[in-house]
Amino acid sequence: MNGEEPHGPTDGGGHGPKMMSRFRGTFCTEASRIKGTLRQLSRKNAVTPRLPTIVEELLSTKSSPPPTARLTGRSCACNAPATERAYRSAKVEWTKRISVTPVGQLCKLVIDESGARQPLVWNESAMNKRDLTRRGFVTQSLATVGPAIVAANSLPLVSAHADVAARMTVVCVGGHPDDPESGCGGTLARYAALGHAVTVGYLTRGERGISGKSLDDAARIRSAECEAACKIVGAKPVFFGQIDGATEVTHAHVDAMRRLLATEHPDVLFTHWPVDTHMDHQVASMLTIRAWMEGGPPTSRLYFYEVNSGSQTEGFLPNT
Amino acid sequence: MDISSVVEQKKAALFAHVSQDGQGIWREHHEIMARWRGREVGVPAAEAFVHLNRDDHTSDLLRL
Repeated sequence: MNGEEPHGPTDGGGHGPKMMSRFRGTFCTEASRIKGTLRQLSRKNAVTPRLPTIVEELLSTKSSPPPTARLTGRSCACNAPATERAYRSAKVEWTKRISVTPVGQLCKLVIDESGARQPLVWNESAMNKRDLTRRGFVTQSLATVGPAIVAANSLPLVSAHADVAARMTVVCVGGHPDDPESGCGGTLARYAALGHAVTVGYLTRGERGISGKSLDDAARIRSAECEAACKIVGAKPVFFGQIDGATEVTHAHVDAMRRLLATEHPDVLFTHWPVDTHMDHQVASMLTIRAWMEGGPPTSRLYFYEVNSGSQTEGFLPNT
Repeated sequence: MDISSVVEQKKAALFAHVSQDGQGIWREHHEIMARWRGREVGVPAAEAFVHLNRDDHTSDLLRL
């Protein structure tokens, strides 16, 4: 569909049943694809809760194609003017329904740089445009609300290059090589680029991650890959020495994690979201949480990241 | 968190894990996730986090 409303009979040559058929086809395919994706993501709680609801409501208000789409086929082939009139009528009705603006409920306030709350204003006239498509509506809604969300959750970028005192320590703990890079590699790269110290802790060396290789060989290969990845991100790798597929939460391991935190004294701490299908991810998360909680009054901020949402991370509802 | 400016770095870091088919991981999982998270906040690519906050209700990433 490429984000465009199918051309109606009034848009030029080549109209009528063929175009109606194409319209019906694209509508059904697109609607069912979006609904399927949303259902899947909702089941996994992998998206902000309100967003799929909004889009589901939007889709449900026109879960069946507009009347003209049902007129396609033989009947309208011999009655093109009627089809054209019906199409126009349905298109107007359809876009009227689309022009409802539930997105306003998503974020009613914007917090400006001074912290003051300002009412969210969106381009209502644009939202009520008669030729607004479903995809156009969603795109426009996100374009409107997205910056508001970013504004509400962002802080000024502070570089540590010019001010040593502003230099922070960031620690990220992951179960295996490639987990930290997957979950927050971009954020770590941003911190490193600003001059902050970034350390990546790997609970294991991914010993069981290469079939046909011994644990030692696999560990050697994957450790080298960690070094390379950390170099790209601008981080320092640290290995905890547990074995892939046999990780444990014990007091001794909690102590090891606590020692790392005591050494690094992180301002920002990342780890796996604890609800995960992979036990090593859960163990990495639990050890980090325990060490963070037992390390006295926590001065660091603890954030959870997601990896392979839907197949590994589950029930992840971001708030940052 | 907007990672649009460093998405190539993230990709390169993942691709460094050759033994795990880092390119495949990116293509099948994290490229889609980055785009989806980006759409949620109106940027090309983003990473999402849950902040465990014991003190107040703000959930900002410190100094970013």
